[in-house]
Amino acid sequence: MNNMNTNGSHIEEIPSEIMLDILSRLPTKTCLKCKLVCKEWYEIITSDEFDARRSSYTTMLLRAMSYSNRIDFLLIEIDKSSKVDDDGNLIVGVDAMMRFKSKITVPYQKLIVVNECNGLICLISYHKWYPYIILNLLTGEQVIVNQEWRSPSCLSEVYGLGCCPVSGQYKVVRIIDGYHGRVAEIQTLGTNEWRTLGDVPMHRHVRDDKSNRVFLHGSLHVYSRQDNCIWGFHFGDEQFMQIPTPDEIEREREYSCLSVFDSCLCFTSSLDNQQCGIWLMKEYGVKDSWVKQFVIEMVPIIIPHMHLLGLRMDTEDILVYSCHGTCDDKSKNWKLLRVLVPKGYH
Amino acid sequence: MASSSSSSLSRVVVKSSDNNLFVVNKKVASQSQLLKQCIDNMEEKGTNDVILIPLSNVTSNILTLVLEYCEKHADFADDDNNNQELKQWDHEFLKKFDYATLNSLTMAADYMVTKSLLNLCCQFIADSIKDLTVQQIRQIFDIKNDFTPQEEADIKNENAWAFR
Repeated sequence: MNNMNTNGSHIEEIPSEIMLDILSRLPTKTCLKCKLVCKEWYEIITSDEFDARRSSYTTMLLRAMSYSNRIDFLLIEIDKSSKVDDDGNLIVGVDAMMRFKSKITVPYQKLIVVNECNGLICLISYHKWYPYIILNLLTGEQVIVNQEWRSPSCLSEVYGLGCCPVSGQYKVVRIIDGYHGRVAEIQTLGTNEWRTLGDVPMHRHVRDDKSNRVFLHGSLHVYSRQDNCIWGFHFGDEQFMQIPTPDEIEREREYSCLSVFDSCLCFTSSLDNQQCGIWLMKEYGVKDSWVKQFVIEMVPIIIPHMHLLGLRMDTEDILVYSCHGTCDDKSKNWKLLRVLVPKGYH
Repeated sequence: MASSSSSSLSRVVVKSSDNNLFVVNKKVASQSQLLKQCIDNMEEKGTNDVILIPLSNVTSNILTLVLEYCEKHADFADDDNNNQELKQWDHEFLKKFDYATLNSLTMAADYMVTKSLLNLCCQFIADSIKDLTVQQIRQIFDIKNDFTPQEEADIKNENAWAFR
């Protein structure tokens, strides 16, 4: 094939819709870089549409934590195509690491990622009435969602961040647990006002469920051990709904987690005999469409860390464990990922 | 248009923007949703004529490439999508082209609604952007920097949080 270049086109001729498709496949840090290329790319990358599109390609696996005397948080991005060696080690390059400084002081020195939605990340502190921080990775913008102090007997439980599929508005949902039972409240970003949604059917969460949330098809999902079902909250009609777990999970499981795999809701749970099962809901919302896709040998205690990364500080390295995104469809070989973070990034 | 003796369409003729004609068999053409739609419409009408489909946006050079891709993929149409040999072929196929050709191919894939090719091209371009600096991206894709120095500084500032 000679003469190829005589028939080529300039990249600016590519319709912006396709350019959006191309750029949305890039990691966050590269997107930030691409904002600088030209105005058209800047417009594409900072558009709302771009955020929404990105999630279908890049998997964000993040956890923030603080360092001894700085209130600085480290975000790690891993995408599905990341290469993992035979031992399951994944060396994260500097390009996958982002440091961010909170606009507000975080008292307990610890932030947790509640969930991620279209490239926006919702962070909370362990502190009871502390504001939520919503971070837009592509613009660096932070939105602070305040919580007013209530009576000491009241508890505020975060449900999470989501996006209305119709209006494109982002909203945060929390559950107030007080004298009058459990009431859901919602705040549309930018309004600075909590609206009540009425009683919540779901039971109270155990503490360690915080990071186990998944946004898919306009709803934010969480597995409730107490109810042994998956709850979804739809950000369009602002209603809770129940999604049944696979038949085999006839009783509640201590170790389980939700994630998205191949655009399907993915439920991982401990089985007996030190194994865990991974189910995919092939047709969203249809109980009979749960398929047990994989069974892997694994210490069940790791399961809650399988989607969002569990992070722990060692003397030398920060080790991140995850089992996400390294599945080989053919061999059904799951690897426990160990992500090695470059030194000097502590 | 020539009259065909077969009872259903087995081939179509596709015309490029520079008026070259390509005879394409139905299975190959069906890799493009645009061509497939044309064929389906004609078959519904019960016509036995070989149909001519003009593609006003695709030059013959690029059309040759799209059809090469469609032909290969038609051979594998009954296999699952994860065929390693096909994946390898896809990669080698795109590696041959310069960026200007890739851009045209991407647009042709979009126009002819050949989703897998479009997906492939987009991923290929994205992968090649990944490790480049801003300067290199502008240079390779011949993009003019249309920011003022002040605007550029502002964006750098906006991005600073991630690069600290």
